[in-house]
Amino acid sequence: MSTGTQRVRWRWVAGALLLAALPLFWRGAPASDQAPPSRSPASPARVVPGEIVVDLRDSLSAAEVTAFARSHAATYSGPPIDRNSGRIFALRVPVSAARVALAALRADPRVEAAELQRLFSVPRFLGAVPAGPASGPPSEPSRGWRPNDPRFGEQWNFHRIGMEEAWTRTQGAGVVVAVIDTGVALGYGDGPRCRDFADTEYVEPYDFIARRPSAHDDFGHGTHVAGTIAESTNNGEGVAGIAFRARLMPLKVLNANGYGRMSDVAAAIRYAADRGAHVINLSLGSSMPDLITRRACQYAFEKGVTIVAAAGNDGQEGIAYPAAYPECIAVTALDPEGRLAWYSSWGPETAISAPGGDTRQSERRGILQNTLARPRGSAASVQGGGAPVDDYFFFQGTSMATPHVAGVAALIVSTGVRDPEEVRRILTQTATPRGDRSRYGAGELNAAAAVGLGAATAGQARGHLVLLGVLWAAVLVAGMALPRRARRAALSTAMALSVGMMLPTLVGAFAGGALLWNMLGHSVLVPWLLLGWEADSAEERRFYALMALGIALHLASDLLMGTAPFYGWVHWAALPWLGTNLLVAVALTARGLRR
Amino acid sequence: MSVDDQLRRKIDDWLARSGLNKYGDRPGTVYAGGSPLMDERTGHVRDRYEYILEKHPELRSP
Repeated sequence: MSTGTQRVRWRWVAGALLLAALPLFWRGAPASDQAPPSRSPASPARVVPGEIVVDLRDSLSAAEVTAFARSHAATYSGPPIDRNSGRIFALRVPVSAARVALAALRADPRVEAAELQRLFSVPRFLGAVPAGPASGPPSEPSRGWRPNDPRFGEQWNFHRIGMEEAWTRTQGAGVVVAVIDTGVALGYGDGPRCRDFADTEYVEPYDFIARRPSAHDDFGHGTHVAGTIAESTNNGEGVAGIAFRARLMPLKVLNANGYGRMSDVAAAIRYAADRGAHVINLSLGSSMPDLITRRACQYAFEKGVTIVAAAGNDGQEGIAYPAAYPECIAVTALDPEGRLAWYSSWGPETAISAPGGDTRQSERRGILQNTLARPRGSAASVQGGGAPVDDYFFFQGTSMATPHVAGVAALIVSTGVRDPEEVRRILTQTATPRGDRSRYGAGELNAAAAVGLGAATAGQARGHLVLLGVLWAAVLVAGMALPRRARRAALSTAMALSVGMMLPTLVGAFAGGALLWNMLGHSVLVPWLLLGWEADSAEERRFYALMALGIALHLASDLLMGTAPFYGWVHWAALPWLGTNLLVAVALTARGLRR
Repeated sequence: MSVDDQLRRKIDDWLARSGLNKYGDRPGTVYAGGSPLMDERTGHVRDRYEYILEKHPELRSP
């Protein structure tokens, strides 16, 4: 090998090493699996005397689970909280030894996480204001499909995010959305079904407080939230829901008195993931993190579930948990003018913002849905008892903003995009920028654009597979008639084009949402290196040149459809990056084939 | 009922000692909407100190 050739190769290697090392600096430290530090005064104080929640390793058998409690001189407090797989248990230990037992449990390799059992509480309900008669359709004309629900015109929030246009592509069929809340009034036998949920389908309801397969809403919050996602639509009654052909999975973790257990929230997240939910809506939160809920979020995320959670209603900086966990899409609330609502919490974890309403401006500036609630001023609301009313209510809050995002996430999933990282990318990439990222995240939810990009992304993946399938079928069929040498060349061509076309997707699958890795995956780096350093024979040069052509085809489809995974992050750089790499890929192909 | 600066300081000191969360509730408490200070159904909002005093009236005593 000549000195000149060696110099050229070292130049290629140095360039490659520099480019490959960049992501190490870019990604920073790996995410910890520990719960982030609390922003509130932390306390080891126990809530339920002598009770500890343990999340056992999935690999433990039933006999090992039984032996586990004995080995810690403890007994199980009732059946598994996570009854689906028996992973989360409440353990009873002597009250005086609870601290020591907790330390021993955390040190036990059979335990994934252990926490003291705690109680949750929610505020006392003072009574809501029924929406009253319908006020007519909006003055602005709508594009797309408009349902016949008589009060749809009062859903300014749906109009604002472009629902009429989004519905022309999908209405959420085939998707399951878990609503972890106070339950949903769907008429399971122990409570009425709200009038505008007549056509709403549900699956696998579960009450984690009473531990039974029912999830009736005796509080009014969960039904309103669920209504935004999948209230019966185009049924000539009331209002609409965003993904109204999706099925709900109502999971009750808060009771009528506003109390629940931390372990129930974690167990409900795992339950939803194990029972086929595609999206989880969490319109609830805590000011303090905990490891068991964090682990549950990680578990669901790894199973391909998109988790959407409320930022909180403190009106100041500080995102609530679990919204602040990186596995969750944290949602802040906007008023009808698209400004951050006065009550919405915000922080660096904010992913996106959505309409949450502002009933201070006027009652009708809230979010209108059907639910069961006790009207304000009624004897029932004052005394805290009596039957709630099945009516339409304007609520406001980040709880109301969150199901807008969960509903649109369900629509994206229904287009064929299942990866939660991809769903998040589509939501944020298509959001309308509003400025300050800690308040608005990527911007305001845009349902029409999100569903459009979801369909394009799923269509592109299907298109690539079809193209490669046709290519391989042609090579295999025609190959039989070709002489050996030509057959080898055809197979090599198909292989090189396949590797090139799939390389950006494969890099994305390994890198997740890492920006620079995805940008490198959508570049000509690999064929450029291989052609410059590795290709010694004409056959190799031809292979790498065709690989560059495969990448060029992928980049061209990204350019045409706006589907590159980094499009939303660096919009200003996406087009030049893709365009430049596309041109270089074509040049490499021409040069490689010519030589 | 108003909460003066002296009482606010007393509550803040008590919160720091008690190990409760910033609303005076047990650690890990979860709220509809993420905060107990606003009822999303009514729009009713409470001051954080008044919310704490409602549940811990003994803090008003000198």
